[in-house]
Amino acid sequence: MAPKNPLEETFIEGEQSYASLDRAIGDIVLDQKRQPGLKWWVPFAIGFTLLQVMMLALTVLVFTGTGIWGINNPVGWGFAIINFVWWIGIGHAGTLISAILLLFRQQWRNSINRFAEAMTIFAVMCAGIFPLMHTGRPWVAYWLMPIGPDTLRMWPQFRSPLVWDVFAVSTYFTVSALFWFIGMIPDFATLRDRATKVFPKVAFGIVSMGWRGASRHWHRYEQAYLILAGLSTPLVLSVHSIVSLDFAVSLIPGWHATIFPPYFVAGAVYAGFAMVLTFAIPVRKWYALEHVITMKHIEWMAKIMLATGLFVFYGYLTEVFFAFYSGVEWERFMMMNRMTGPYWWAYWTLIFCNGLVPQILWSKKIRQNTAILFVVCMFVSIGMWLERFVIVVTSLHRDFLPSSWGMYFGTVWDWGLYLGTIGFFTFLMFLFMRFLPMINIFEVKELFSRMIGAKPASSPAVAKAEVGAHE
Amino acid sequence: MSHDHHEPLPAQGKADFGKLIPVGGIMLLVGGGLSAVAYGQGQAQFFQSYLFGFVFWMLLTLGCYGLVLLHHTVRGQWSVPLLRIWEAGGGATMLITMAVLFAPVVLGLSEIYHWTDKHAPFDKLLEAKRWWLNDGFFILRQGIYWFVWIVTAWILKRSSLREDKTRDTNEAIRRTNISAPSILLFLLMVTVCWTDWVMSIEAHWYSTLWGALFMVYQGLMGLAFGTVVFLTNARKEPYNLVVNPKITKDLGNMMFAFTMLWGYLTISQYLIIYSANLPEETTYYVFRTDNSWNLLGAFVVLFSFFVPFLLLLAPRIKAAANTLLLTAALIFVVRIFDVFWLVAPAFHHGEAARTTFGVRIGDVGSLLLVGGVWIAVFATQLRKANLLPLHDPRLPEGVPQHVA
Repeated sequence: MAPKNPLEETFIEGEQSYASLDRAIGDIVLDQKRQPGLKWWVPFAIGFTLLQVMMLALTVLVFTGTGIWGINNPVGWGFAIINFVWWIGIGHAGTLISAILLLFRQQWRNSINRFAEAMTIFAVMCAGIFPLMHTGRPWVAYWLMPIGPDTLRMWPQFRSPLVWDVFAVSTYFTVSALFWFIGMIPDFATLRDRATKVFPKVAFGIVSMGWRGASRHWHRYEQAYLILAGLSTPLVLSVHSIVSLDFAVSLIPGWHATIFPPYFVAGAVYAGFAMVLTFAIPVRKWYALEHVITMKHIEWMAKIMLATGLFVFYGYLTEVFFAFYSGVEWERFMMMNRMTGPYWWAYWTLIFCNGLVPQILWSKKIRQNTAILFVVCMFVSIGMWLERFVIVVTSLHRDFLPSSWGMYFGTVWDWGLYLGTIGFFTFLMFLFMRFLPMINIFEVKELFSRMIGAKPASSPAVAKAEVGAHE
Repeated sequence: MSHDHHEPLPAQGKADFGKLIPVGGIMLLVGGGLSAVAYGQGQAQFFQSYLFGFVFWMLLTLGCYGLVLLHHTVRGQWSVPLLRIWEAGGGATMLITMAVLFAPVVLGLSEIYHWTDKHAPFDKLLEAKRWWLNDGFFILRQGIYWFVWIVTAWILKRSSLREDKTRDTNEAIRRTNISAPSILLFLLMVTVCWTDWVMSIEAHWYSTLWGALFMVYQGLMGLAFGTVVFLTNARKEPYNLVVNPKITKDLGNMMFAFTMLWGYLTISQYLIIYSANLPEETTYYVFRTDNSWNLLGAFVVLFSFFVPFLLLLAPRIKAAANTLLLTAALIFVVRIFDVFWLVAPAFHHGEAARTTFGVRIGDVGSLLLVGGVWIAVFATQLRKANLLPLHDPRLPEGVPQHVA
């Protein structure tokens, strides 16, 4: 088989028409009988239950204070920072798919972008909870804003990346939410037109903001979408780079490393694609969307996971090499403590989950086996959480003064809040799947029109025959 | 310059790289003369200057080599017309040439790297680094680097040339299977080889970003150089058949991405070292901002990031061959100053941990000397094969399969 241009591959399978695509995607929302019954209710119920755990953990926290957490001296940054970084990272696949792949005209993004963008927004919502609560006084969170000396009689510390985080993450949320909403407007209009019941007709009528599909509408839509993509592109790099600077600008061995920005960004995309696949694999099956989220999409995502995972693994190797190359006593101690100290199990589990397990993705067979791929994604999600655990805890618990050494473990409230946010995320995702078009209907139709309108030479069967003629 | 969409440009003769061989010869003569003068002035200065010339052209060689690996791995369409250029610039013959040109660095090891000095007063950090920085292991590592690079480059080029003849598309799959793991190995080796060659000049200093940073330097050089060679011959056969606004846009976008990565990694490293303000780390930037070095640094930042960034943002520049050519040439030429700022300040010791600014005669000499050989070998290699990989099914439609 000749190497094919990925842009000319088919990303919609089976015999389709515009109407069949409308039905396949749009009617999931409009026709509640298309919902997969228990397969929707069970994960939704689990998510909803865990959401209550989150509410409980937050309530107790606000009434008691951060003392209920496991943080101590020397480990002042515990689960709160670990979970913050983990969730922020998970959002990155969405931004990469919507912005960068759009600018690079990668058509395989079209059926997964909406889904991944929703994840971005929900993941940032989960992430935001942690630093907000970690401040200890969430009711004065507005102090983080540069409101000015007239009102507050003080400025935030602009030299601290923690303050940059406030701007980076709020920008990230705003742009992602706009991107998501604007991208849905044409689909809202489709749903409005297809709806037979009064309530969906009115509801989608309001959110479609008067969209009639006029050429002037499309013109403005395309412009707005491109501008938003341009704005989002730097965000893929900047958000997690600034998160990494929270650590890297300090003097702590294991945190102060110049490779942190690109290494964190790669880790974020890696974790993000793992989470997208975790949801996409079961959902495409439950909702019978295999012809739109095809094996090609799954394989592309697995390949991106492999590539970013390898860079993350390279980051681990670099940390080890330079700890020993540097000759610096503190760096060497930190690395030995990670590998053989009391948290050795966390380090080696992390290497196993993030470094070794994903290597099986080199095989095409495994990339196309959704069951194994799903398990790999679970390992990656756990591995990426452990990575942040190792970075935060092992660097802090044995600092420069042996007299202040200690150990850190999360309490039941730490775990409660963490699992609770997973519930919150699941809850929101399943609501989204039930009530909003989870796949971009008009972009899939556009792709379809290009497929059927394409020149004969581009269709795979003919291309194959041409190659055969050269042999 | 206007393009009819995807219509081949009228040919103005054939692309001829034979002209480059005498250019290389002249560069070699002038560079050799200047280097001889520098050697007369002092051995230390000569070897230190020589390293600068070697580093510059080695970055280009490894850039071409790495882009060949990237091309075979991701199988992009945009890189097809540049494949043969990169195969010539980063092929086995070029790598062997560069291995020979590395000999003066080995001969001048003690003049270049102060960690080789066994009689220096006791230095705790250097003692701790002895396991990596010692003459024997250093030489052994060089052997491993070049062995791996030459063998992989040779296998890939042979397969690519064979496919031109046999049209056996299994060759392409075989190249992908070799290239994908090779990229990984390449990243690891780039990290350690540039640690050896450049980072260890200032033996106390280290930065974990080094490998990623050099991947970007190499990529930027290989892309800019390939684009310059490709587009200076845009109206000559066979390149006129493949130059179109789509390919220039793709090349422009790739250079844009690498320019952004350059800026991103450069500011990351600076910000992290600046904020921590550790004495053993900040020396790197202190040396590079002393006296007039900061002016050179500002120039590099301006012309490596801001100017190409703004130029490549404009669709009009990427749509036409001649404007993109000028932008790529700018990116390539600025690399000379960038590499100079990277390598040279460490050798210009002044009093009390300061650096003096200056360009030595040997710096110019070595750039021309190594460059002369490089260009002559490049031209000879490029002339040996079809300028386009004719076997490639991703060549734009309409390229007649007999064009050589």
